This record gives sequence, C-alpha cells and structure tokens, in this order.
Amino acid sequence: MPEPFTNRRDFLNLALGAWAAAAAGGVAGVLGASALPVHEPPQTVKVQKSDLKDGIALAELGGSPVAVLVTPAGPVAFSLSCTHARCTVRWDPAARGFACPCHGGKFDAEGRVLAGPPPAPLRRLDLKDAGDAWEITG
Amino acid sequence: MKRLLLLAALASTASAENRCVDCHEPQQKLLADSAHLVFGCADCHNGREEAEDMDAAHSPAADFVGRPAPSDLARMCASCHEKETKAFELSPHAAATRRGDPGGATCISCHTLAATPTAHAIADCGDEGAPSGRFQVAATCARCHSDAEAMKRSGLRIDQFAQYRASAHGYNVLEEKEGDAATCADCHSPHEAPSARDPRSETHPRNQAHLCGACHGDVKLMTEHGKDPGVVAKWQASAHARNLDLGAPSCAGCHGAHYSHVPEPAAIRESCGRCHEGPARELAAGPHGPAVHTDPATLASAPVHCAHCHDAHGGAKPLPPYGATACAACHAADSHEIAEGNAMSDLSAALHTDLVALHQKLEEARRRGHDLPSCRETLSALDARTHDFASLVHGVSPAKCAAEREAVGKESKALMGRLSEFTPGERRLWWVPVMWVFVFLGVGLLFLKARKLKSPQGR
Amino acid sequence: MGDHGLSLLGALADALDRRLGWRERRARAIADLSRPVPPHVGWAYTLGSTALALLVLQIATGIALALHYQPTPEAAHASVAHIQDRVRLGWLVRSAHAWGAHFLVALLLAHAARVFLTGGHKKPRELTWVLGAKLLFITLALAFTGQLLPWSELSYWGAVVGLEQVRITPAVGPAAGDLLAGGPGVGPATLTRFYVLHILLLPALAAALLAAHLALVRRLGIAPLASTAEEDAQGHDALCAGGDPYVPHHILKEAAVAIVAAAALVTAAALWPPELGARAGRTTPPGIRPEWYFLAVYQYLKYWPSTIFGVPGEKFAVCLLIAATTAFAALPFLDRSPERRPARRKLALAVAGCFLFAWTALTLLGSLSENELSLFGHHWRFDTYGRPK
Repeated sequence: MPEPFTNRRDFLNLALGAWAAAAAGGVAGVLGASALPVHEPPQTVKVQKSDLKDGIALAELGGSPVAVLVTPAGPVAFSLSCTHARCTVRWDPAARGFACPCHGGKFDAEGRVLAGPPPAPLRRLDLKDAGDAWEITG
Repeated sequence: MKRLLLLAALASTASAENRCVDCHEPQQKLLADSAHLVFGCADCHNGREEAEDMDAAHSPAADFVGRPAPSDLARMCASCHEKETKAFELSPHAAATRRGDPGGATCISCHTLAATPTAHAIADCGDEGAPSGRFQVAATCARCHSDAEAMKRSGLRIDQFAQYRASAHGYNVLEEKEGDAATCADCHSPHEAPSARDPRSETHPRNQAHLCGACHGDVKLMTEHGKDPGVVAKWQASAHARNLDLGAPSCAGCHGAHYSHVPEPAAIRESCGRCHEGPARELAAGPHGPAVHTDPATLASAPVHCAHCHDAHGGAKPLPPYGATACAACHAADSHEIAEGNAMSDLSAALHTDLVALHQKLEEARRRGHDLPSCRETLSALDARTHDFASLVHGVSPAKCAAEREAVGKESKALMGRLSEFTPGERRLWWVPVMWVFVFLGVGLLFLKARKLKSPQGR
Repeated sequence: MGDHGLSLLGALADALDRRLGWRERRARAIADLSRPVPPHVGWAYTLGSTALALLVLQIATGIALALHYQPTPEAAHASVAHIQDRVRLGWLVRSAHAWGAHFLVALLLAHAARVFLTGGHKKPRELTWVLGAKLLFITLALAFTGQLLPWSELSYWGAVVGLEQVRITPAVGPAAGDLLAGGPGVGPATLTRFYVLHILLLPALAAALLAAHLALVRRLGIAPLASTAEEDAQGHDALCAGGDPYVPHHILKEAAVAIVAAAALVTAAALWPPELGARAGRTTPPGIRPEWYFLAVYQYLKYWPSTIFGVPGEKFAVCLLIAATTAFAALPFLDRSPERRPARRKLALAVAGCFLFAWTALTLLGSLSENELSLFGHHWRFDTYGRPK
C-alpha cells in the first residue's frame, strides 16, 4: 500500500511525476494535433452541360462523386455518397431515383429517402450556372 | 620587307626594253602616272614584252592574258595588297563575282581614277580625285548601288544614295565638301563592306553606338559643330540599349541609316508609337493629343511629343513625382496640372509597390515548395495591367488612373490574401520561453530530488 | 470507490504476477540498475542516454510525419509541403525531425569521443564499442535516406551524388548502388527503397543493435578509470565502490541533460525551420553540398586526382575511407594498451587528435568551398578546394 504523502520526498516524487506527465502530454498533444485530418476549404468543380446523359452529369469533387441532375424545377447538384455508409449511389433513369448498392437505400430525384437504412436525404451542393457549364461548390 | 624586295626586283625588269608601248602607249602613260609606275606590262598580262612581233608578244604559250578575269584580279593584287584583298574576299562584292554576277565589284571598280576609267590609272582613296576619294566615293558606290538592273541581281534596294544625298551627312560631304561628315566608307568598311545584318558589321544595330559614337561621342568635334556629344553615352545607358534583342532601336532605328537626320518633332510620336503603341494611343486621345508646344527660343511649334517628357536618347521615365519633373516644363508651378501629375505619379508608384510585394510573396511560396499556377496567372495579368497603367498615364486623366488603380489594387489585395495562406508570416513563438520555464522547473525538481538523495535521510 | 478500485487493481496485479512473475523481475531489475557506477562518472556520461531519448523523440515525430507523407516522386514534395503549411503544427514536427538528425549525429559523435577519451572501448567492452559504431553508421544512413524523402532539388541531387560515391566502391559498389537505387538513376524505385530503409529496415536494425548495446552496458557496467589489468585483478564492483548508484542518482543527471537537449532541439526547430525548396527537376541547382557530418568526406574526395595508374583516383579514396571507418569500428582491437587514464595514453590521444584536426579542417574547407564569406569588412570567395580566390 502506498504511504500517504506526508513528507517532502513524497511531494517531490509527486511533483516529478506530474511534471513528466505534463511533458509527455505536451509532446503527445503536438503530435496528436498533427495527426488530425486537415479541413480542406470548399472546392469547386466545373461540369460541362454537354456531359449530360439521361438527364444527369457525373463529376468528382474533392475525391467524392457528385452529380448534376436536371429536374423539371431546374438543375440540382447532389453528393452521391449515401448518407448511411458512404457507398456511391447510382442513378436509375427508369425509376427516376437513386439506389445504393450496399444496403438497399433508395432516394427520389429530390434526394429524399424512399427506402432502406439511410438516415438523411442526399446532401445538396451549391450550383452556379456558368454558361456552357455548371460550377458545383461543396 | 617582302614588298620592298618585290619593288626592287620589279624596278630592274621595268628598265628592260618594252615593245608593248609601240601599240599601247596610252595605257603605258596612265600606268606611268599612277602609283604602279614600277610595274611592267607582263606583270599583269604575261606574254612577252620584248617581242617585236605582236603575235609572239601575245602568245598563248607565254600565258598572255588580255583582260584579266574579275575573279583573277583580287589574286593578282593580293601579291602586294594582302590585307585589303583578304578583307575583300569576305565581302558581298567578292561573293557576287563568285556567284557569276558580271557586275560584282572588283579592285579596279573603285581604285582607278574616275576621269580615266581604265584599269591602268590605279589610285587609292588618299588621291583627291580618285573614285574612292572622300568626296567621290558616294558617287562611285552609287554607280552600281543606284542601278536597278545591277541591284536586282542581288536583291538590294537602290535608294541609299538618294537618301544619303538628302541627309545632313550627304549634304555636308557632297555640297559643302566638309571633310568631317560621314561618307560611305566611314560606316561600311570599304574592302569587306559587310551587310548590316551581319553581326560583325560596324553597321549592325549592336555596333551602331560604337560606329556613330566615333564622331558623335567626340567632345571636341561635336562641340565644334554645336552638337551634344553625350547622346551616345545616354543611349548606351538606356533601356533601348539593354533590349536590343527585343528589337529596341539603336541609332539608325530613329535617325535612319543613309538618310540620317534629327527626327521631325511632328514625326516623333509616330516613330516611338511604332513600339510604344499604348502610350502613343493614350497620348493622342488625351488633352495632349491636339496640344501644340511652341519652343520659346526658336518659336517653332510642334505637337506635344515624347521627348518633351522623356529624354530623347536616355528614354527613361521622368522621375516621380511627374508633376514636378515633367509637367513643370510647360505648366505653371501652382497649376492644378502639376498637382494632377504628382497624383498620377503616386498612383503608379503604389501599383509598382504592390506588384513587387506580390512577386516577393509568390517567390517565397515557390521557395517553400508551392507551385501555384493560378496565382502566377493572376499575377501576370496584374503585371500586364500595371504595365498598361503606364500607358494610361499618357492620357493624363487622373480620374481614369485612380479608377484603374483602385480596380488593380483590389485584385492585388485578393491575391495577396491567397498567397499569404501559403507563406505563413512570423510564427507564433510565445510558447518557446514558456517551454524553457517549464524545462527549468523540471530540472529544478530533479536537482531537489538529487539533493534529497544525497542527504543523510535520503540514503 | 477508491478502495474498491485500488483493490481491483491490486487483484489484477496479483493475478498477472502469478502468471508472469513480474514483481520478482522488477525487483531484480531495480537491484541491477541500482548497482553503483564508478566514482568518476559524472555529467560527461549522460550523452549516450540523451541520444537514446532523442531517438525516441525522432521515432515519435517520424510516425507523425509518416501519417501524411506519400512516397512517390509525384506526390512526395506536395505531401511535405502539405505537412509544412496545412497540417496543424506540421511545420514544427517536420522541423523537429530534421533537427533531430543533426542533434543525434552530434550527440553520438560526442558520446564516442567521451568513450574513447576514458578508454571505455577497451577490454572487456570491445563488443559494446563495435555495436555503438554500427549504430552511428546506421544513424548516418538514416539521415542520408531521410534526406531524399521530400524530393526537393537539394535532397534529390544529394542522393544522386551520394549514390555515385557508393557505386565507385571497388567490387561491391555497382551492385550495392543498384540495390539501393533500384535502377541506374534516382527514380521512383529509389524513393520507395529509401523510404523502406528509412522507416522500416534501418530502424529495426538499429533497435536490435541498440538492445544489444544497452544489454552489454548493463552487463559489463561503466568502465572504471583504471587499467584493464587492475579491473581484471580487483573486479568491477570493487572499483565502483564509493560511486553513486545508477538508479536513482545518475539517471537524474541523464534525465536533466536529456530534457535540456530536447528543449534545445524544439527551440532550434521552432526558430529555424528548414526550407522545403523547389521540387526536384532535371537541372542541378548550384550549391549542392552534403550535411555538415558528410562535409569532410565530400571535401576529402575532391583532392584525389581523377586517375592513379589508370585507375579512377576516387576508387583509392573510397578504399581508404572504408579502411578508416572499419578501423573506427574495430578501434578496441587496434588501440590495445591496457591503460584507460587519458594522461597515460598520450600516443593514442595524439593520433586521435590528428584525425580530429583533419576532420575539422576538411569540414571547414568543405563548408567554405565554392562559397563566400564576409569577415572583418573583407569579402572572400573560395574555389572548389576551399582556397580564397
């Protein structure tokens, strides 16, 4: 059983231990901070209007799949990562909806969940008309 | 030495009996009156001088040559005039002869006396009346160089003599018989006569300052003629001299080559504007476009032109503030024009300061390993706009300049912001001393611990 | 709660002790570490463990860098630039790792000098020295391989020149060069090979050798300042009488020096972070010179004629260099006198002094060569041999 910290020697040991813990914590803090992922600023990608096929144009934004879908209400940009487990959803022109190949998630042309485990609608991205192309930011 | 020996030998042969004179007395007389009096006929024509019979004298067996071929002439002259013929062999004249051009100049095209145009009256340029003499040489060159038929074979123009005659040089030489003014052979080394396109040529743009400077940089000579001897040195220090490779003008670029003249004030704007297109355009569109300046000394009037603000030969920008250095030449010191000039000068300086800072920042980012093509593109666009701003100043519209400066300044600021992301400035280092306090605290604790261990209770 | 927690912890400790016997092992280890060091042992004997502490720091920063680094010629430079500017405190971690190499080499050289001066390499500790020399060489190899990884102009051309020196080694040189470079020049294969060497093979080798080195130090103890004959006759323990126990007395000194050294390293890293420089290209930039610890060798190679009896002079130079490094590693078998006290080893110290002088002079010449120096209002420029122009 450890003795209670009654004399000076025990206090010194405690202080040294605390100091060592603080030093190790400082080093670990710096290294841990550097290990965290870096938040990239929003990026922009241009999607040519001539790339449209079956009413949808696919592209990549910051390493993730995105798409511009032309709906009766106008063009809409979606992130194609399923909100359930991040698999890439597929556009089904016949059903006019998105289907996820992993766990059977289904979304309509507005990105709303129709079926399956996805907890949220597909993420919408900012879209800007730039003449013969669209600029997607997100 | 070689030449003297040769002359001595020739002198001895010349005294032998020469029967050529029996028929060719005029030629013999011309020869005897020339510098070549020591030569015998056979020295150039071979054959047999002493033969009484004409056929024997002209015998092909004795290698008789009636009229030496042009291609042989230089070789014959070379036995004494080695240096000159060597230079001549390098010339376009010799090249024309080698090509088979019957009009290619040879030694005797220039070195016979003009009044007696046969080969026997040999004379050099020191001879007052010789075709190569100072006051005749232009006409001699023009004999071929103004002949359209002859020049067609070499593809050369034929207006040089006409231009030269109209120039100050030509007038002084041809009309005033003024020995100081330049004539053909002063610029085109007479035997080699290289083309101005040849970089070795004295007349090549690279060498013009040296060539013209021989007289126009001569203080004594130019002072005598009431001209500024400093112009060549000014040009040599100018941006034009540094940028010859980019097509910047040397002497002939502005003053002309054969028609060398001081550009007419009315023509200066057009002349500079051929390269400095932006400034010329803005100047014409601005208030100075129709403005006329009257020289108070000569009362000569001319449109306001480039050399009113820029030194004609140095070409440099007026020193800032422009109002004080350039505008004050015509405008009153307390006028609003001076103030506006100074204001534009400040705008221009601010733009350049921004640009320098941006270039430094981009370079710093590059050194840190960031290749930033989009930033580089934006910066070169700003470079171009800053460059165009210099044109804008010539339109002397302070409002336009201020608007452009604001627009460029906004973009500079945006770019600076982007670049700053890649070039963190001063690191925040406040924690370094804090760390050392912490370190000394730890070392102090270790010291206390060690002392405790050494003390009797510690053991 | 506290009591309950403590008793739970105690029960766990008891359970583990029954299975591993760690209490006895700990007691034995503490007893072993508490053996006294010779009485003369002082501050100079803290360099080795300080190097060990910085090695641990180097491994930690190395792992942090490896999380972001990408070992391909296309991505390497950009990934290091990313570490420099985008990763939180990435610049500090990279700077500390780069400075760590300098500190580590300097500490190991000082450690070797201290051991040599006090005769620590002599019988029966020859093997400890040999292992230590190998650790120094591995550290230099780690520095050399690590330098290429940013794929910047200086690092790339440093590797090109360094590999050529490997290739001119007679017999094994070309094969060793090909094996290291993975091709005729420095290319993608070289980068991955250097990367594997830098983060896997060399650290693993160093760890094994270091374990053996430390085990030998503990087994044989610190050399007393007495001749090997006296040590044989009286025994190590008798010569350590009156000395402090290693734990806790001497280890406190080592801890203090290590803390200050680490703080100095972090300070240097914060104040003078190394520049990344431009990405490596086809053209060699001017001013390629090795790090300070290779400057002497770099300069030494310049003085050899291009051929000697028809054989490239550099071959002789490299042979001599290999002989010298071998002699350094095999020092205990060359310096065989039984004496350890510096005052009685005048010849050995004089020879070592000559080597130190030559090394320092070559290092100075190497740093001056093709360089400029302004001193006392004069401005000198030096040619490739370090002579003023």
